[in-house]
Amino acid sequence: MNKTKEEKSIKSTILEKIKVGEVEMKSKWHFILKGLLMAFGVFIFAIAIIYLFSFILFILAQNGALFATEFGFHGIGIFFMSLPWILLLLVGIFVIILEKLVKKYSFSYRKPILYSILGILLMLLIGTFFVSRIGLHQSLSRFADEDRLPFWGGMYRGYGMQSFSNVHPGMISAITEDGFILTNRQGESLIVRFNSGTNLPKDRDLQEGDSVVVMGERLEDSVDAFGVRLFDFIIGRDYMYGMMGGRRGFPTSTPDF
Amino acid sequence: MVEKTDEEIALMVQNGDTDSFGILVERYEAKLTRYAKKFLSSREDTEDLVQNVFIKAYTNIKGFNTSQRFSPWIYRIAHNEFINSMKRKKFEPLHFFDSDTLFPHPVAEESADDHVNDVDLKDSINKCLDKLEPKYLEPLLLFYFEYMSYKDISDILKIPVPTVGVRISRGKNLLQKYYKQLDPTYE
Repeated sequence: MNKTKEEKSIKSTILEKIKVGEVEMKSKWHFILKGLLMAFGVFIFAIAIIYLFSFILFILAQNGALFATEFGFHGIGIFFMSLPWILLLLVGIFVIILEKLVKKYSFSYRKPILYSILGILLMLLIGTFFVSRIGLHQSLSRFADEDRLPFWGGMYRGYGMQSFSNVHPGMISAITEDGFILTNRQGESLIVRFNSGTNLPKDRDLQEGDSVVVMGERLEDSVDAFGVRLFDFIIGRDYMYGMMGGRRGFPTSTPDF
Repeated sequence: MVEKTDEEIALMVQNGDTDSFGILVERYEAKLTRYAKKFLSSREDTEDLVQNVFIKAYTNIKGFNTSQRFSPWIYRIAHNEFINSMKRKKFEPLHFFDSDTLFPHPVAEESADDHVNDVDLKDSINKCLDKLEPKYLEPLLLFYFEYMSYKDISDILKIPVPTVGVRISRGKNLLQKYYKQLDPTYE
């Protein structure tokens, strides 16, 4: 009996509140906009993650640090020291936010988190591949180098011109008996010396005008190289061509990130 | 006359027949009150909480997709309301991340019907409500008392379907352990 009274009271209380307008339904548009906003959020964070990750790979290639992995454990150590940890942390935070957003959808929360993380990683790989195919960062960094990219330009120049210890990108300005003279992007001339263990490009000999990355410890103006690779870079290239009297070496390739 | 389904009534409410919302209140009040009392172990004013659940259900009813089932939807609102109430009162630590949800687990769904007469199990749940962590208690309540499927529980708690199975299984093991502590003669 009491139970019935209690039931009636909750029901009548709620219906009363509805009648006097104390409780109102949210409109259909509220939920449509919320759904669209959510989908937009997923899209924006997915794009941001792909952009940042491909940018990290691009600047690692631009600075020559990506090539360090070709030189064994020593090179891998250099590579890790050169990683832009703040950007990587940002990618990590964005992945967590994306994961949280995606978890609102039943196709995601019904499956273990591992699956959605693998899905995000797959999207990252496909997206990065696509970005590399269209050469987005190459184009933007060219604009940045020519000072035609107002807002983002600083980011491309700043990260692209970063220098790391033991990684020396630049151009060969002269060949010497035991190595070569490297003009780096800061305009310095470094004496690069080879030793018996120096890992050199196998396909052809180095020549003046080649753009290269040298791995090795720098002591004042000389570098004891343990590895050299041919590579092409965009950021600071025009400046270097100018310094070297417009000489340009053998066209080399760089990973298109 | 064939009784209208919850979803049909929800559609009527969406279309402006607000009085029909009373039918949904009648259908779910006792269930939600039972769920609240067991989940919150009578530590809260369950009547107020259940009333809030209905108010939120009404406010958001246009966001309900009538091609889906109404029951998991309103239980989801109830779950959020009860969890928020626990957070406010700081009854239980609530985990931000749970490793149970990370990896896939084999799903061997139990049938609640097989246990309808399992008085021992329900009795042990009733006696150990206070001891079980909410993350184990809630799936057990939804499965054994509200007769929800794993998929429905997954929708209510927003956890992977295999995790529902893992939590029910672990919850049962914990129940056995606690029940033995209460009654050493229990086998």
